[in-house]
Amino acid sequence: MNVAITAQPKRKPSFSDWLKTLTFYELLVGMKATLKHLLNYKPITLQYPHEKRLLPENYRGMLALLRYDDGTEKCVGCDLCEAACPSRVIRVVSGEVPGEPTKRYSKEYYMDMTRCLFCGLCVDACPVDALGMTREFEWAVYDKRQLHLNKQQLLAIGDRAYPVREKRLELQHPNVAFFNVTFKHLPQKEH
Amino acid sequence: MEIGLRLAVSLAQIAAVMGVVMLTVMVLTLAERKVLGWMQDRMGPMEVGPYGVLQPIADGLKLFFKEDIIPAGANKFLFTLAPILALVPAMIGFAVIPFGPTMTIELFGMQVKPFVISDINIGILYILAFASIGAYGIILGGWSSNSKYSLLGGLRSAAQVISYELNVGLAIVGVILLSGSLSLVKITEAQSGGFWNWFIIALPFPQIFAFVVYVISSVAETNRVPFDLPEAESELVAGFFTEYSGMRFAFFFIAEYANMILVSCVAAALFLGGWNAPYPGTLLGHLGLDALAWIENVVWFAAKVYFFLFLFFWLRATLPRLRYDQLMRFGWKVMLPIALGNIVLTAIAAYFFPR
Repeated sequence: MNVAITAQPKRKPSFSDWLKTLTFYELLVGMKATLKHLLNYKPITLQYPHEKRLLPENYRGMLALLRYDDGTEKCVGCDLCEAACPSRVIRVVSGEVPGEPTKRYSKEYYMDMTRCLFCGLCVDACPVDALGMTREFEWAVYDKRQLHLNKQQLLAIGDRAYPVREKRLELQHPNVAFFNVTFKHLPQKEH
Repeated sequence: MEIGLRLAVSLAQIAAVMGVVMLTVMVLTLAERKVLGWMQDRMGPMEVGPYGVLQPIADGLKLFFKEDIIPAGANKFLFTLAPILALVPAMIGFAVIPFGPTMTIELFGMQVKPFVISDINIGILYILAFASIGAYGIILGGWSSNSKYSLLGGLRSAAQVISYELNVGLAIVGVILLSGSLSLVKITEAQSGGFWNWFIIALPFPQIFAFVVYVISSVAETNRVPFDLPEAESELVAGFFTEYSGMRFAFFFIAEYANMILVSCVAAALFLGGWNAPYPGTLLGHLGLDALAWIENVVWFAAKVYFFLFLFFWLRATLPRLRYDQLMRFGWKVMLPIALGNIVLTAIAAYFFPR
């Protein structure tokens, strides 16, 4: 039962080698190991649907579109997420906000989650933090068309995953708020 | 009338033994997954019933209601025949296994042996003969499926079973020389009176080498790990039953486990004293409960059989699969000379020190 190792020069088997072969020593060592695991039975199994793993702090789960605390969508339709996405998951149709020609928003926003690899590059790319990654991962569906999400669905995911919303941009960070033009209460930029 | 009654009693015995065997198969399918799981720090099946104990019933129901597919291009007759050819020999071998002490009871004016269906005088030969027929089921199943994986599995099985049947047969010869009989009942009786009379260590020549050869060869004969080349998952999908589904697959599955039980029974009967306790007589007999002594004997037999079945699982959890040439070399160049040498030495010992 001894497996010859080709790299080593062949040496004459000693008496103990013969004895080990005769008594199936190597087999018995292996069988002792398995028996030890049987006797000190400590399963590492997690009975998944009944008990769930503690997710890490920075877990990257289902993507979602977020809102400000007054209910308006954060997304400004800049397409940067679409550009950043390596798997072409995202499709944004941008448009002007009706009646406010200086403001834009995403008229339509689609995510094909069958292709998403949850890298989080779109979240990094978003200048207004309109995208977020939730801790949801149980998204098994019977029809994979159900994973082609539109804007309403993505907003709904964001609503249930982020109950605490941020204030509007112009009320928190003047320096990154240049996408909004309605910060008249702040000093104007000098030209 | 007399013949009809005898037939009825025999059928009742057969039904009882078949029931026990099928129940054991059910227990084994669960026990194998559980023991393997425990040895690998897993839990095994846990969903059906408390701790998954109803899993065999769920498996059976699933297989029963599955679609029965006969692949296009398969030989329909042989494809149907193969699972039956595999199952029947595995089941039929239990006819000569003595499960308990040799005694006759008076039933409707007939002499009935309750613990052996049929005590024929060539019992062990009968088991070997039917075990070889079981190989036909595997080979024909592989050939008739019209699939290359099945065919390769079937051919491997043919070569393997032929190589290792030989070793099984030769390993048994030593025991037959010592006991002077081919009947399993007589062989078991020859080992009564304490564990020092069991053929594995009995004088004049302990059959320990024959025992090792028999155990290894029977693992190979039942196509179990580490000799599971006919159904090597990583190479041949599922080997000879790749194309089988539903009840036909279940037949092969039951046949494999029934074969495991059969070789365990034979090993217990030939080498470990069968239903004999490791001390002279029985404890219940010494206490004056002779009428209940058979319970102790049957329990000892079951304990020995279950030890071998546990060994099957233990080996499966421990050992990787052999390569095909290793398997053949081991069978012909190692096992066969040991078995032959054992026969010669046993014959000499039995000639000079007759029991």
